[in-house]
Amino acid sequence: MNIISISQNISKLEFALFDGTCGEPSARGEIMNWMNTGSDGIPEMISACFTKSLRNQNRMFSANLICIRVPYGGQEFKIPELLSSNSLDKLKKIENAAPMHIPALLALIVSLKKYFRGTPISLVFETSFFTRLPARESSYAIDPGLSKEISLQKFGYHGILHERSYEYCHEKDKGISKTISICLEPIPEICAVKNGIPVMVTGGSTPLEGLPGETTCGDIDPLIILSLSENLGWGPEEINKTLSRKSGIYGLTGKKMDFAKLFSADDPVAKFAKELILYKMLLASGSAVAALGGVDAVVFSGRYRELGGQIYDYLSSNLSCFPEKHEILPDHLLKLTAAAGITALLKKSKSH
Amino acid sequence: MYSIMKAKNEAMKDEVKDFTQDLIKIPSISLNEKKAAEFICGKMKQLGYDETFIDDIGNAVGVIRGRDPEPAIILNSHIDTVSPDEEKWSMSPFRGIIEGGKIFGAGASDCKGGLAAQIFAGALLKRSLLPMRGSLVVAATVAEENGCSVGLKKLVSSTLPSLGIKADYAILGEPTGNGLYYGHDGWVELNVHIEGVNPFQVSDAARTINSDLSLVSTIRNTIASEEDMEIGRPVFNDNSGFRSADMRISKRLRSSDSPEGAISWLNHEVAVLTQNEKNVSVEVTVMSENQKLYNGSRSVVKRVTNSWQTDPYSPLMQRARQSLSAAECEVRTGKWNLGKLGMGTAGSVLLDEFKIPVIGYGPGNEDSAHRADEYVILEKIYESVYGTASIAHGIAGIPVCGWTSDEI
Repeated sequence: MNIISISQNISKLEFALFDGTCGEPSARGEIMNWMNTGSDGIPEMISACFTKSLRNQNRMFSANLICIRVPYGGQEFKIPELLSSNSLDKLKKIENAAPMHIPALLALIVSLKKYFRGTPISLVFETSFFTRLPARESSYAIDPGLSKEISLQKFGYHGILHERSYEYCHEKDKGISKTISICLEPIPEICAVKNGIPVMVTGGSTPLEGLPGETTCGDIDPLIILSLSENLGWGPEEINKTLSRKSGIYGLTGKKMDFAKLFSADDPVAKFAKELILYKMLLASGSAVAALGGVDAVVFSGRYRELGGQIYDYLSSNLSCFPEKHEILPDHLLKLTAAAGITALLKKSKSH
Repeated sequence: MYSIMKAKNEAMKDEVKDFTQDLIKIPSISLNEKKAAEFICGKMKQLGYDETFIDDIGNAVGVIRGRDPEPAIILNSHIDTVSPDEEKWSMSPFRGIIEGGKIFGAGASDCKGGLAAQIFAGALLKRSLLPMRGSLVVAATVAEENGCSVGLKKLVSSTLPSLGIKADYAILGEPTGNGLYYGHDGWVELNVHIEGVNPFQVSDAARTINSDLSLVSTIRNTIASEEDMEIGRPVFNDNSGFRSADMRISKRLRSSDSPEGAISWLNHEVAVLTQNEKNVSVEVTVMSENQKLYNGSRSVVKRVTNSWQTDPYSPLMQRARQSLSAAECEVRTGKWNLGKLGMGTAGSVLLDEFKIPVIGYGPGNEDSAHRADEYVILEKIYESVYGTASIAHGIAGIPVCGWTSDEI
């Protein structure tokens, strides 16, 4: 079974081809700035990439399933879902909550359906895992009427990796029930998972809440926003741009730098940024321990997961309750997306 | 969001240039805008506007619907141009010649460049896949230059209500060099009718007014400067034993002036100037014209453009400034100079008659308007597409707060 797995980001579209979900992808590629050019030519580009790669392996390209990783699905998508007219309606309904991603996803779906006519499409949402967050964690301490009116609810945005991280630890040792999952992506996220259910996460109503990222500020006093507006006369666009594109590592160091570079940098400014981010991770890990009532396993995932060792050493030296060793999730996001997409397909087949 | 918009705008440049050039090639002198209106309507349809049509009075209208009816923002530019004095032009005013990054032609600055920018601003929002909260209407209106906003009045009073849209804000694509303009002085064209039995006294009165009005008014400080007034030559008529003369006088209306005040002022001035001509009667009225629009409908229009000013600290101006700043566009505020009497915008109609907050943001150059070899700088048009789209999104788009980070 050939599965195309696609990860939708704003700056790039990553894709890989899997023959089942056990092994490594037989082909993979990415399209940078795909939203700048539009979705029409995307399926052809994906197809051309796979065809070329497979030709070198003396194989023909075909697709039986397309799985798309979607950053946001709100409360509408509690599990991965095979695309239907109903799911399209639901996506349109939540467009406001992720206005950069959902319209682009809808356009991508149209072009994929047109090109890969008849091939089923599975949608795998990063937020589905967090629809199971307890209300005390997913709610804000503000008027519930107001929260409902503008759909204010806390989610996490790396649910696929967090869910798999728990499963990975639990598969290795069935006695593990309390896991702290530390996802090391450009916007890092810490999640406490108890018996497979998330109980605490650093993400919020948007991905901006939580830990500082490569360009994102993370948690700040909400009145800082009012101060920027009142004292500097900034509008929402400028504030958003500053907090989501010019903060975090970039804001602290003044340099475009990813986590790998930050952790290997020597200059005092970068060192301070690293110290600040590690400290925020420590506080979030402490919260996770508190939410779990202890911790059995700490697992790192994401593209910077190899930094897990350094981070673990810092965290465990400050949190004596941490287990003696940490885990690193070997799985890649595209593979997990493919696996979750197959589950949705099989579930649909069974129901028929 | 802005990086996507910038990239899409870059990709549209040739299309924008070709459209502006083609639009200039279609003569659309006031009251003869039919072909241009059809061309504009066709383009908006091609660009994916949700609705496009030509309304009852001949305006070309394109609508992009948002999730809610409000807020609705109107991007308005007029299709019509003044009639170019071709002898003064160094080239044909209807060829859209491009030289040195400028596109030349009748209405290039006023305001076909602005119209092109507004039409493509809607397209840019569509192509950037940025969902709208409210509605965006691009209205290319007729009979502005020589019709005192008849087309726009019909749009707001009839066309928009028929679409279920109530305009909350408006942006004029008139020439501002991509500054944010919030008002201008007005002007009124008055007719002085002098009548009497004695032809010599009528002639004397007319010549006195013609020669002395400007000087006397300046000395007496009833006008700010001689440039605030233009006095036409008297035209004499003889009939039924009476001699009469008519004289056209244009007067600038400052923010505190009204057309009625201008009539009182002129009545007083001519009474003073003609006090020795005992048997002459003088009447001052606002000039009006009976006009036939391209679709055959007729209307009587008074030759008045009121001065207007939107509060420079109003929510519209504030959001426009903020949006342009976030989009990394130049933020420059100001007012039109109206170097020539008879020029103006539909701002007073929108603001005073319909109570719609309005600003100007267009690529053209005010000094080039209504003149030979009128031009607009191409780069300014591209910049205006992006700037207009940014303002429109700031006002009626769905905010993208928290979601602009590259990779999640």
